[in-house]
Amino acid sequence: MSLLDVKDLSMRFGGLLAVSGFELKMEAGDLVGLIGPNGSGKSTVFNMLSGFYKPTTGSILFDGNDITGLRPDQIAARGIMRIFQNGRLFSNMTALENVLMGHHMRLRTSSPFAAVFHTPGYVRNEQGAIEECETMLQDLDLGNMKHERVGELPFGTQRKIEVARTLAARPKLLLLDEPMTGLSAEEMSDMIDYIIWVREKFNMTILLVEHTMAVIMSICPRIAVLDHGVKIVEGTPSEVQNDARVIEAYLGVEE
Amino acid sequence: MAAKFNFKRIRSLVAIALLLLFMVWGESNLPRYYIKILHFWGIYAVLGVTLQLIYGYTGQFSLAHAALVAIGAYTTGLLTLSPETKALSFLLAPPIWPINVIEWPLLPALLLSGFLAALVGIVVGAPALRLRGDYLAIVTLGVSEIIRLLFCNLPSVCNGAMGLKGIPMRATLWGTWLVVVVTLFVVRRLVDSNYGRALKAIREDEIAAEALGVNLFYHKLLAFVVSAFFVGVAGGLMAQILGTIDPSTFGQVLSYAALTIVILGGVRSLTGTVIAAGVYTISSELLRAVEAPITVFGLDLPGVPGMRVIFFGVLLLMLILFYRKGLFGEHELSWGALQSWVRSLRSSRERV
Repeated sequence: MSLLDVKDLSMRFGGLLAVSGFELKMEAGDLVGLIGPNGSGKSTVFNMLSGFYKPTTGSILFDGNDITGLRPDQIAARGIMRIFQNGRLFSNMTALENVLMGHHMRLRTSSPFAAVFHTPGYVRNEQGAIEECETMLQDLDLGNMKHERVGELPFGTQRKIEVARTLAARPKLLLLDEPMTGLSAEEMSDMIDYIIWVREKFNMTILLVEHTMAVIMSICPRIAVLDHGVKIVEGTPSEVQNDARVIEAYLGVEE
Repeated sequence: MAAKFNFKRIRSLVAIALLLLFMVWGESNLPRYYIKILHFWGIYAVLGVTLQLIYGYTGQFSLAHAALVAIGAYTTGLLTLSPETKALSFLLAPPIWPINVIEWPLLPALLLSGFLAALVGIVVGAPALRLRGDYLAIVTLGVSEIIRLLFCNLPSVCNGAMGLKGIPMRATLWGTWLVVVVTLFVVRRLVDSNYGRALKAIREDEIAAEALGVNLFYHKLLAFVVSAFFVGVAGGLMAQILGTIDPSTFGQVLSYAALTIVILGGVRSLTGTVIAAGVYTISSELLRAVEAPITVFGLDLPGVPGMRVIFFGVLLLMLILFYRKGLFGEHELSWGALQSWVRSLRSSRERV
């Protein structure tokens, strides 16, 4: 059984059919790239998968359960975590607090009363979470920045913290929405290394939306191409690169 | 590390004990007027600290404090008045059961005030907290007014516009300040916990918080209900201190007072809020002068009640326009901060 099985997913905004009949299967450990020109519906697909949009038709099966139309926090609780296109860190909170927010759901086992009265169980959980999140920041060589406000850190660092924050939740599927946007060449290669490292270390299943074609082609074994809300091709990088429909979607047809 | 932590904790406990001892001493040695000011300082501190939880940390702009104070005050008032007094003072309509027979000691009455206010918090918050920003402010403002009008128009429950008179004034100074300490403790612990982080995350970015699995509604309601409980208790104390309450006691001014205190103290500074509550209470007493009738150049000007409120309105406006950080910004008045302050004073004196 596939980890993620998306069937006939469509999203209609009034008269606009943003995505229609989208299908995608992912096995555990897959790394799939999702590409397409601007406005082709990539972000809409992401928003449906993470619960921010309720699909007009279709179904999303995750880990054997139907998660279509659940709230974002319910979908997060089932193990799908995402990062956002332009980054959505809590910029007035410290790096450590941000990563701890990824830990939020696992800490929810303690009641508010336990939190107020510092029951032994609560203190143990909280301590464990802090240690684990500190380790994650050290993995990113950010151990000495853990008490900095993230709004003051370099943009590349912020993006990596955002990925680390989702990892703290121990997701089964990671949705990365343009993690390279706005990064310098150096930061970009850093980010690529980090994504590959994450995939190997946690055997993470990753769906990656990206505009930088070189990145997608070099790290994704399988690529799906969207155009005008329809998936036109799915295959290996070389299959996609040589497909007439993809070239047409990106460059247009010769008159 | 652990030893130092315990030392700090002992130091804080000693400071709290000293504060309460001062209140016990003040109860019998200070003039009645000062005692009343200290009581109101405590009550405003509770109102400010609880609004910090909703507004400062969670970013939800609520103006329901006045109504919640009213619920608490009426609950404690009705529970602590003797059945005979109630029978005598309910002139418009006789009190209904169980109000006509009930008489409780202060502590359980205060607790029930808190629980009822929390219940109202759930009933109001459940639909209202689905709204954001200005809309939440408008709805809570409206609900606040509705609740006040209910008190005006329920003669058999709360004596309508005539209000309650002769409420036994059993609140002690140390009791009021114990409520302040407990409120501070609970809010501080909550804010520093996983729940508090989620509240701050909601304030920062609701969408990102939701994507990380934060149940927005549950957390907003949690902040709202915890606040409502302590506001209810503060309301109960207010009834005990005033002795006489009627619906006009709980006008919107109370909600704005809490807001002014929060912004004056510094958004997200709990100790700053307590200090600001003192500044607010004392200056509002000093400003009574502007409401008195005065003679300017032989011209007799009648006293205008409510002039003080205009002053606080202007103050709030000025704070928001020019001094948004308030007295403390996001900092807390802590031992470390005090030490570094003393050190900086010393070094500046040495330089001179």
